Amino acid sequence: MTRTVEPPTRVATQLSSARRVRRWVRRRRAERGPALSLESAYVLLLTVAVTVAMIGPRLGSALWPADAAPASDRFVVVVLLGAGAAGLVLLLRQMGPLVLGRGELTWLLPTPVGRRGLLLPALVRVLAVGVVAGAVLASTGSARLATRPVTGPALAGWLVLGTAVGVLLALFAVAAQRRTTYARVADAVLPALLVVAGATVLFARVRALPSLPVVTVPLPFALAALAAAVALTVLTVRDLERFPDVRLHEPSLTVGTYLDAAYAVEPSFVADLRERRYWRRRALRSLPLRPRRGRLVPLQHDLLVLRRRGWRSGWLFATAALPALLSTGSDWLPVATLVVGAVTAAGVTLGGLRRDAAQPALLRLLGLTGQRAVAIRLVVPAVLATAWSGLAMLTLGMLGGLPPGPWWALGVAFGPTAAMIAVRRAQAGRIDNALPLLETPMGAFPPGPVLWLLNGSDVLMFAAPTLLALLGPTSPGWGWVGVQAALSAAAVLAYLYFGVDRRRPQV
Amino acid sequence: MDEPVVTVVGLRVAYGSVTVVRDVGFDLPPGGALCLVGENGAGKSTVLRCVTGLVEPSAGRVRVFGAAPDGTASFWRRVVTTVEQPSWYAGLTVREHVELVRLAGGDDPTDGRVDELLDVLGLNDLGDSTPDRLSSGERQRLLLATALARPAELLVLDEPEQRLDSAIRPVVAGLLDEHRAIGGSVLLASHDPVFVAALDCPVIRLHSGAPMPDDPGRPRPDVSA
Repeated sequence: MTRTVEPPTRVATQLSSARRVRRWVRRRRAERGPALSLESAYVLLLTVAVTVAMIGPRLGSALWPADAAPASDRFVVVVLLGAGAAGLVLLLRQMGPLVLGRGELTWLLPTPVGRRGLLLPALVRVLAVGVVAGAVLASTGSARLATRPVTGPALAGWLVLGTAVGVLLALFAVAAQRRTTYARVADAVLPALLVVAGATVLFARVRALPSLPVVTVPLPFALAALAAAVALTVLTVRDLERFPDVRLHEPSLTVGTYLDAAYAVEPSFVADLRERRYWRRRALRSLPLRPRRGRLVPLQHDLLVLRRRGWRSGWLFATAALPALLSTGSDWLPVATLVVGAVTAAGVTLGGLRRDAAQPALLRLLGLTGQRAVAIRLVVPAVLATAWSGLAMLTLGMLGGLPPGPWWALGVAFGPTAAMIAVRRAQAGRIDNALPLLETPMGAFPPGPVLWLLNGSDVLMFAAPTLLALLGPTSPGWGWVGVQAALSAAAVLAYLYFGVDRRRPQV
Repeated sequence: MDEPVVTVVGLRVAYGSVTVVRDVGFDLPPGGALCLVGENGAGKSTVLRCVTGLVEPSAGRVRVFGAAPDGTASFWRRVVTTVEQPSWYAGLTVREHVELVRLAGGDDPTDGRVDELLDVLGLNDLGDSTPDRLSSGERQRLLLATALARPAELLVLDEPEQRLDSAIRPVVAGLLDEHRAIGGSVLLASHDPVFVAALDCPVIRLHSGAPMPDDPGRPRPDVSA
């Protein structure tokens, strides 16, 4: 007779091998067809080839310039290497770093499959990222800090040290995923280090920093670091067996959503997920609304959200120095950073508008027209974008090598236009994948993602004075500021009059 | 006699070749209530969506307060509906959502009505929580609290008893009675015979999109034809 009920759990049995289970899954999938179609492989190869052809030579000269850095610049190089290391850990923290695919998370994690075998491939991926990033940082450092020409042993010393440090940083990120104490320290200290590094680089433009001698890395020292990295890797692998499930779920689902967003070309998945996660972690206490300001209900809502984000929004203002930091590169880089930064600052409280645009049921309950809702919800973004762009242009005018002029005032006048761009993007909703494909010599491509990406960019024509002054660069007089202020006002009024529904609760 | 709050005549809704609502007609007087019942897919929600202007009828006539439902802000100041699950605002608590709606409706959010609703619907202890953290039944109670937190002449509710505990269903029926007692009207769809009986109102039984023949709310002649 066929048995339909399993006996109770067998306690003394061995754990199943993750490798065996994975092999079984791979074999079943292979029977249903190849994982990568020829078309996908072609697109992948073409993307890599085009990317290498476009940025390869410039990236090569940036990583390995013709000459070493002068003694006066070496301190800044060391600071930037430190910032790169801090950035690597933050990036790994954002990605988990130990994550499982959705299938393994659902079907293998809650089973008696050996945890070490299950997590080992994920750990190997994390260590590989650490090794590559460490080697890149080390070669960049040696190209600028070592004696030219760089000898084989000197380069080997740098590379060994770089890979060892990369592995140690990756292991620290794994430890921070497991232990909340490490995570708290990493999330507080590393962004602060990045801010200090940025401030140091800007300070170096107005005051000379101490000169540093040529840096050599003794091979024994590098080997000792490598030995430490290997020893800690062994300990981490041993401890994988006890890695708690609860620390795997959230990062795995987050990375899964990133992949969904990339696969479906739908970035709004990520924005939604990040917003929900952010608020779910917060313990809120209801605050009373002010009855006298009933007509400004959405403004009260935005101010409440801004108040709750509190010092977290402060980090955003620390990034106002970015356009100045990037002013030594291409002319368009500080301009692009200014626009993206101001639009990001404006977006801090635009979650409500994004939700109203996606599903206006609450707006109907509130009984507000689209025009009224957008006009009121524009107030806080306009203030934030104005403050951010004013600060960014002040820094850029002082430290960005621009001709003299009231740059800060131009930034202030540009703010409302940036807020308009942010509002347009918040209203854009999801990508329209129903548009007909465009045929090109390299194959057909869907225009929806490109149109989504360009959403709001038409508003940039109202920012012409700011963009022209920066790209010139031309010294802007107060006349430029006046024209920019008038154009910003025109952008806002035109949008409120023609761009939103004036009768229905619809944005 | 007062003009009906809602008049539906010869309503027909088709999606492509499939007709989901046919020959539905009724009048809802001021202060009255009317309940649509029927199995899943009978067309109850589609009728409610037509009344709120969220779906355009393929044929027939729908009038709300004597005019076609136009979805303007002034229409939504008189009508409240729960036919769509809202996307709750991130960063606002349960209590703040209810207060926000009450304030937007022109009332004082601190006048005690919000407390009363949260208390009656068993949401008092969840006031500082966020809607994302609520269970589906608790979210349904929050939706009802927001719907009842502001003045409305017409409530259009899609299965308000759905996902609610049996203990809370009579409470909701009582709140709807209160709404009618002060002159408001209620049009709803429901699956629960006990809940419908508690409301003590006329019923239209839909089957495959059409009213059952023995129903008091049987179709009226299609005057638009």
